[in-house]
Amino acid sequence: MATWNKRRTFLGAVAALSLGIGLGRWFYRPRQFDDPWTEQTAATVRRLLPYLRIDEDGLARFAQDLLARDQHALLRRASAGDTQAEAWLGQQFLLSSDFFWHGANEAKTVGYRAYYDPYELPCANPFAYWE
Amino acid sequence: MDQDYDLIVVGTGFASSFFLSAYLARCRADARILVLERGRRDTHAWQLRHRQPASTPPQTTFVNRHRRKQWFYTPALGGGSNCWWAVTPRMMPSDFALQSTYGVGTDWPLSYDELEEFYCHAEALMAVSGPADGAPQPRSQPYPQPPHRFSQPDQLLKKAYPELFFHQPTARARLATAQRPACCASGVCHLCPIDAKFTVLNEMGHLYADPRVTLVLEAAVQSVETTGRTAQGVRYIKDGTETQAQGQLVVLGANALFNPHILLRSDLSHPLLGKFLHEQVAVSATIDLDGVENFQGSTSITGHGYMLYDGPHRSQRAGCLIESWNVPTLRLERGKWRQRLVLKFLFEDLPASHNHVRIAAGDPAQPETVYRNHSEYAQRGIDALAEALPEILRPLPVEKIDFDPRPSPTENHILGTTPMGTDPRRSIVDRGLVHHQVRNLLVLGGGAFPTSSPVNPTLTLSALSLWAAHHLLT
Repeated sequence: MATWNKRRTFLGAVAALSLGIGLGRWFYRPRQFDDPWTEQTAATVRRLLPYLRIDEDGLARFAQDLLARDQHALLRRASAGDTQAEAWLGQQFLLSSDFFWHGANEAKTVGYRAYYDPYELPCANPFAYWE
Repeated sequence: MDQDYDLIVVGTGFASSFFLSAYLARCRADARILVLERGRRDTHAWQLRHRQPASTPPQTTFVNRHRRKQWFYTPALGGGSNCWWAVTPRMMPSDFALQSTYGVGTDWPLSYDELEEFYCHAEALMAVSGPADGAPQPRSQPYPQPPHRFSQPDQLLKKAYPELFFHQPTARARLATAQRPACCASGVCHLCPIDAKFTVLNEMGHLYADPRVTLVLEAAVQSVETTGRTAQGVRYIKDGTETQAQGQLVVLGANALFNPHILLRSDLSHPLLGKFLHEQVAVSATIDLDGVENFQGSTSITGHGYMLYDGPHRSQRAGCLIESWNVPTLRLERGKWRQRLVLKFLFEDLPASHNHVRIAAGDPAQPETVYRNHSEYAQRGIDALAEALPEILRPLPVEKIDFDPRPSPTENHILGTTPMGTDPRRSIVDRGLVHHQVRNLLVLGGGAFPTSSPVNPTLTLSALSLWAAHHLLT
């Protein structure tokens, strides 16, 4: 009986500890991907460019900027594997990043500069100035 | 308001503005000029704020029941200059003599040589950037601005085709002008974020501030009023009120939908008026390259290829101008991001009378387009391209060619509904763009084109306006 009580106490402690750890992880979770759309965007970009090391905070900001411009329909298509939408999303991320500004150096972590839109950020074509 | 003028101009796009520019340079200091524009003054700042070239949607101003074929224009002060891509090639000498050279189409009533000095003048007004190493068209003067920078694929094509591949002539500034910064290759030239392309608003706005000019916006011209062989003026509606303005000279510089529509409503009927509606037919190809990086060029379209343009094939199938695009279109494969080239192929079309503009049955105040299809001549050109493309691209390390043979819905060029010619039975205006029957009425613009040629029409129709003003005033 005493052994059985000890085991119950031990299992209860393990469960409480696990719950505590789980709650702690949830409480201190990275906040950038709170929105499922944002996470979906980031996941699709990671899938399209698996060979790049992408700064996660920057990727989250890109996703938020993209969604702030109401690109949900396009994202839905890209997530579903529509090749045109995928191509657009991948290109949009690359042009919004510092990847080409750093000479397409895969060894560097790819950061987010600003959402690539010539009307919001004129003269930001990363190739036009390379002689 | 006194409605008696020396000159009444309808429209404010290229055709009207270039004519007005030449007219103001020669007319009396006390001349009275009325300019009537259907659209509003949508400034570049307004256009950027709304990301559209005009506050009046063009589709609301005419009837088009054709599902696949679109026609586009800009109803606003400055007309098509607000939305054009600023591509300014000249036509080739043979384009003016298609019938006598290749036995197809119609000859123009003027030659390339006659228009050449007006091409130079139009290029100067637009500050056109163009090739410095010769051009396929004979030139008496160099281009006003140096060429834009080639991309790497352009350089390879130039090396392989030194006499057939050139920098694209363009009014997207290579160097800043007093009114415009240099182009920085944003790639959205239909509405340039930095106003680097020539527009009527940024380079010719002064015409409409001239004290001799009275500009009336949101004025829809209904008809030209005539007595016998003389135009007396025009009727137009502004704010729901119809007004009649008298003029010694009337110049229709609206586009090729509205010029014939106005004439059809003016008791100036002619069996061919409104007929031969057409424009270039364009298809494109995306070419994946192996080891050649693209997009280093300094503007959105950097090269012009004439490999399929002129030659005996034009007796059978359409000539074609090739555009080399420099707007980033990336690949996502590792290391291949920039190894892609997009080419666009513009084919001339042979105008047919079954494609036409008429007065809309349900609303006589609007023109209606009736369009069956582009010509077999143009289609044969497109069909031959698929076979010719691998050979043309041989100088490039091609990995894959993705050719799309479906023509784009529109090239934003509207041509051929008031054609020019020497025979009054077979044309609407003479070689000076003067109406055959009404001798103080000019009909300018792309409607005057008897054939399209493969090139973008804006520079030619602007030069024609300068030519018409010259012949009228000297």
